[in-house]
Amino acid sequence: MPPERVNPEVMAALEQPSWTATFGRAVLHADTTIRKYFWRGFRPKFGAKREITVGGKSANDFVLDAVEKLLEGKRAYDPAKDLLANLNSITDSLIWSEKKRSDRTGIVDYVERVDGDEDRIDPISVAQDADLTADEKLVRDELREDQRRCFKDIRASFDGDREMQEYLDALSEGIFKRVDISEVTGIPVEQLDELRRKLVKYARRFFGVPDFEALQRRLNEGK
Amino acid sequence: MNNDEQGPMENLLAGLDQHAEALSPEELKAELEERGINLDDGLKTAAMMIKACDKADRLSWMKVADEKSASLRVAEEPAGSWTSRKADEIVAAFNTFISSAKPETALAFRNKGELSVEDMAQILDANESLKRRSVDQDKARP
Repeated sequence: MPPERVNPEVMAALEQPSWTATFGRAVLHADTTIRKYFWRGFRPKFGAKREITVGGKSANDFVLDAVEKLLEGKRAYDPAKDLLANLNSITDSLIWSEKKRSDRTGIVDYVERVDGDEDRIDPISVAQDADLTADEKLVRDELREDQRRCFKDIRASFDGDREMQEYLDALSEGIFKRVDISEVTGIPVEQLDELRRKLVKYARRFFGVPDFEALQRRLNEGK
Repeated sequence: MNNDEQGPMENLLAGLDQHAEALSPEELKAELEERGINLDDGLKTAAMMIKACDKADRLSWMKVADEKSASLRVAEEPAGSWTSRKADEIVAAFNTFISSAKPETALAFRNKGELSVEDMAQILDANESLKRRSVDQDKARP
């Protein structure tokens, strides 16, 4: 029986000049996926370079695993989507599996889902309220309260910057499409990318915090 | 907020991730470095992985092609000389050859008069040798 050929569509996508940027964005997405687990109670572990890991694997490792699986045909490549969407979908699943296998912290897991319009949404699916014990519900409520307090503090750090606060409000409400944000806030679409740059520049220290106390420490470090 | 909904910090992270598409390569690299991630290391490993896979893919198919080529060569090789076959096989094969040969070839052999079984076997061997040579020449043509 002849050997399984590498999917030519996968190889062609990996040979595109945009591959470098695609890989970087896939790694950023994987790292973000891991960070989001913080807010479900996952206690972060760090690698040698202070990168966040799950089961000893960093975001880089997860994306490399996803590339390998596409090349080996162990994961199907959906030609209707671009390479980044394919990689993101695989890394989400790999991170979810690795977290389930190696890390028992936290109360609930993420599963990635993409709707028919290609709008990325990140619901948390697995555990339902009924599955949580009283203690877990307590932890969940604390984590949710932590999220609200952290967001409030980050938002307050931009007091006086109305556009930034409106941008933050839109994102925190799950409004991600630029046109929708523009419609809700009145901020021109072309200004949103600049707001994102500014937000990351001034508030990047806060995005990696796992809870409100850590955020307070970071805020105090800056004083 | 039910259990399936994301909180404001989760949404904030997801939103920033989606809006990362507008980042320049340098900004993307810097943002990853802030998170303790070395993009160049990952890209280097990925490039090696892709190259190795591509090479293995090509080699595996070259091997398949070599195996096919070898099996075709075996199929083309003569099963053995007609001189070592039984007389009735040689006569039957010779009659088939004459009936399928061009008219002038068939006439030439008939005019030669009575042929021995050994003559027939040698003619069959010569014919097959000619056929193989003709196939090889066709393959060699550009």
